[in-house]
Amino acid sequence: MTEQLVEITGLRKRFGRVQALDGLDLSVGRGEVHGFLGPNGSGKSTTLRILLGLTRADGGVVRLFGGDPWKDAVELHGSLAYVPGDVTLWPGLTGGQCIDVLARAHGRVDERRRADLVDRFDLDPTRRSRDYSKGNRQKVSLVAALATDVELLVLDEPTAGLDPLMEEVFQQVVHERRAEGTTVLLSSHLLGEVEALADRVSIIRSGRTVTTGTLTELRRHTRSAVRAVTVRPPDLDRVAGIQDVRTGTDDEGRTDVHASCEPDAVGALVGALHDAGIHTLTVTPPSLDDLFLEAYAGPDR
Amino acid sequence: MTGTHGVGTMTGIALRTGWKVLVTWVLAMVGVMAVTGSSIGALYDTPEKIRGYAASLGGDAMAVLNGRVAGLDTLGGVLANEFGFVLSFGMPLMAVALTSRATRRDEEAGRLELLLAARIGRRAPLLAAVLVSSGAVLLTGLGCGAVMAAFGADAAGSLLYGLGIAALGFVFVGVTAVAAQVVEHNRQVWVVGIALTALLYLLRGLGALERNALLWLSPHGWVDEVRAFGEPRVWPLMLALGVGLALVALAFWFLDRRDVGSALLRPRRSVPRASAALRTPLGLAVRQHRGAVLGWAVVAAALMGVYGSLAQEIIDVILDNPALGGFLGADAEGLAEDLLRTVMSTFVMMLAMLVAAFVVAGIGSLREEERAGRLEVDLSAQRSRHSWLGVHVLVVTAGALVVGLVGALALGGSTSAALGERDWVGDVLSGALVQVPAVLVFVGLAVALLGWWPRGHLLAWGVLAVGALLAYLGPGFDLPDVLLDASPFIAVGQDVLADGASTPGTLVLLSVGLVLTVTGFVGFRRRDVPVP
Repeated sequence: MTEQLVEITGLRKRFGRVQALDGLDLSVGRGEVHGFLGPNGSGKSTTLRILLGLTRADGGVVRLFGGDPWKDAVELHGSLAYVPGDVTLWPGLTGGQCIDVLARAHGRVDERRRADLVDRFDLDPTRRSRDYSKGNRQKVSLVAALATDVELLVLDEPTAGLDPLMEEVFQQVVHERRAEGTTVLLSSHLLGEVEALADRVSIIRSGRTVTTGTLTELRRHTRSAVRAVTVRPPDLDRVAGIQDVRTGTDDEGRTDVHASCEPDAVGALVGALHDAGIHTLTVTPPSLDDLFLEAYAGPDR
Repeated sequence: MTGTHGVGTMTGIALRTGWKVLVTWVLAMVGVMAVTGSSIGALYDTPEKIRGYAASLGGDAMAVLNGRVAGLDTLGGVLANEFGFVLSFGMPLMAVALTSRATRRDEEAGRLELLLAARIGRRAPLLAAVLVSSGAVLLTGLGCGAVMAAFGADAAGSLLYGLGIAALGFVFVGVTAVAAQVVEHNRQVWVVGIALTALLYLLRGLGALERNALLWLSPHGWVDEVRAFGEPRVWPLMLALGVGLALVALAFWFLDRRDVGSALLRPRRSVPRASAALRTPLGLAVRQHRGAVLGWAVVAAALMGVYGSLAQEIIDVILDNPALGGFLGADAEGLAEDLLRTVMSTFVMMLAMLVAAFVVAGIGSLREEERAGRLEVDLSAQRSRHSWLGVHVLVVTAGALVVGLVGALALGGSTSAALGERDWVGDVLSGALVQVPAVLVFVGLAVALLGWWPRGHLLAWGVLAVGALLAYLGPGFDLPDVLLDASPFIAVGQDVLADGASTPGTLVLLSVGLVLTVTGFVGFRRRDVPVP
């Protein structure tokens, strides 16, 4: 089994009357890019703050590099860099000065990589940070974190405000860092970004982990939509693993069938339809959009 | 005026989002006037006592602080003089606060852009801001005038004085409206507003002292020259109104010549790399606080310099006072110096209050680090919370010593220069040293709040205000010693130049400061970051 850099089980945190985290689980193995997804207000930032020892958990177990992030915060921080979701940098410093101050705080800076990133992100380091647009401010945080030599990058919605070109640059850089063996914990609610970058994802809602696994594994849990027109009414009762069956009769006396079907049951369903004489057949595989919408909007456990 | 479509909507928005701030300012100003009225009314309850008031003042000396207030032999004049200091700073800052929040602040936040994209004319937000702020300063002036009349001041004079208050505020509404067009960030609008307030206040003081034309460069002077309780005249009021209107017109002229979201002054570029010093936690903290240290040091130097330069006038007043003349006899000079020493102790105490205010503001600024998310970033690096807080507290405390030292040197130096006899620098410095524990209590208080109740930072300002008021007004109102000693500025010792430190007071204050600071550090290690 791969080494787990982040291990969170049963995490709980309450702010006044709001239960922000309610038994959240998350584990990130060394070398992977882990997508951490959830709707706004689902507890992503709180989880990351607890992971960084900024906020104290009310319950559950949190291990970062095998240590306790609340007690050993300073030690553990030597091996990570963090990009917060929403930060106003020092308004009087220029972008370049902010990068240096941040990068120095994160740890060892790779000067060549710093220069390369400033260039690729098309950042003007001579402007004061208060004069930057939102996207440019975000670039400053990103360059500072990505330029440091660390084992783990903790990124909280890092591409908010970036244009598609810069988003592309960001994805390239994360790919490069992953190839060098850096682990990335990427909180996001952008499906495309996660699909392009993540090896594994965890989806949370209302402070709980709804589902976790590789994208392939997640796809396996969702249903394909099947639509067919058959000559005779098919015998669907003998097929296990299908749901939402609706049948009708069209103008020419053929049977019109809609159903949703678990991945393992597609063969059996098609067999049953074949026995009834297939006129037309479409099988639509689960899309990631459906997967996320289902996880985001589905009923609580 | 074209382009003002939707000014009603904008006025509604300004009132809806800012009525609490507006009402607080108006009530605070009128409230201070009411407190002044009730205490002065009780102290000066006969015409004889009122006539004695002018003699009890330093004459020329007071002119530097409050200008030459006409009609000091009337209750209205006495009230106007007592209210002078609050008026001089309160009204301008109120105008800056109310006008900037509806103009540059909303523009910087992008809210104006959103509204201007709707059916709102380009000039409507500025016009609405000017209208609302002008209404607020007028309300304040009329309220203060009504309170004065209610306490028995001449009714016509009170009305005129109230309009004078409003006129001073209106000039600064104009100043702020212009500044909001010229600079791009709300913070800079405030810097312009505060700097101009201090500069014009000092100009009025110098003009009043020397009785020269400098007076007429300052709106503070115009309001004095209305002479509401002397021989009233309305034209200085018209001058203030005219200048205010001209400034507002200038603001609109600028507004028409710039883009929404931008300013007349374009931001400058600067260095692309951080120096080695800036990359250290200490260097970054110094950088963050140095502007405040510089600003407060300038204020301390100006204020203390002016006070010290009055030393000769103060001695003259003491010697001229017929009530004292009989007692002084042959040793008049020596006794006058003793009395001067007491006055100097009061100046040193005021310096300590100023430094304490710097401390509360400095530690309070750490909340902004937290709200902006920078604390989070700092702590996600290899910084312990104790190291982060420690460095900032160290820098703020060192900054306080710098501000105090500059103020003390200015006071001692200008006193020595004014008297031209012996050196006061040493005396003032040792007196200032005695006040250090009082300042350290506020370091502790602010740190303790940051650690345990970060949202309650205002409490530190409240304690400072109560402590300062007790120390400043308490002796005059004959409050019991127990109450006076509750103020750190008195507990260190009264008359610190003559009597030195109170040992028990100093020990208690040092212990309280230390315990509070340690408690604050413990709390800061244990709490969640960020507390919004």
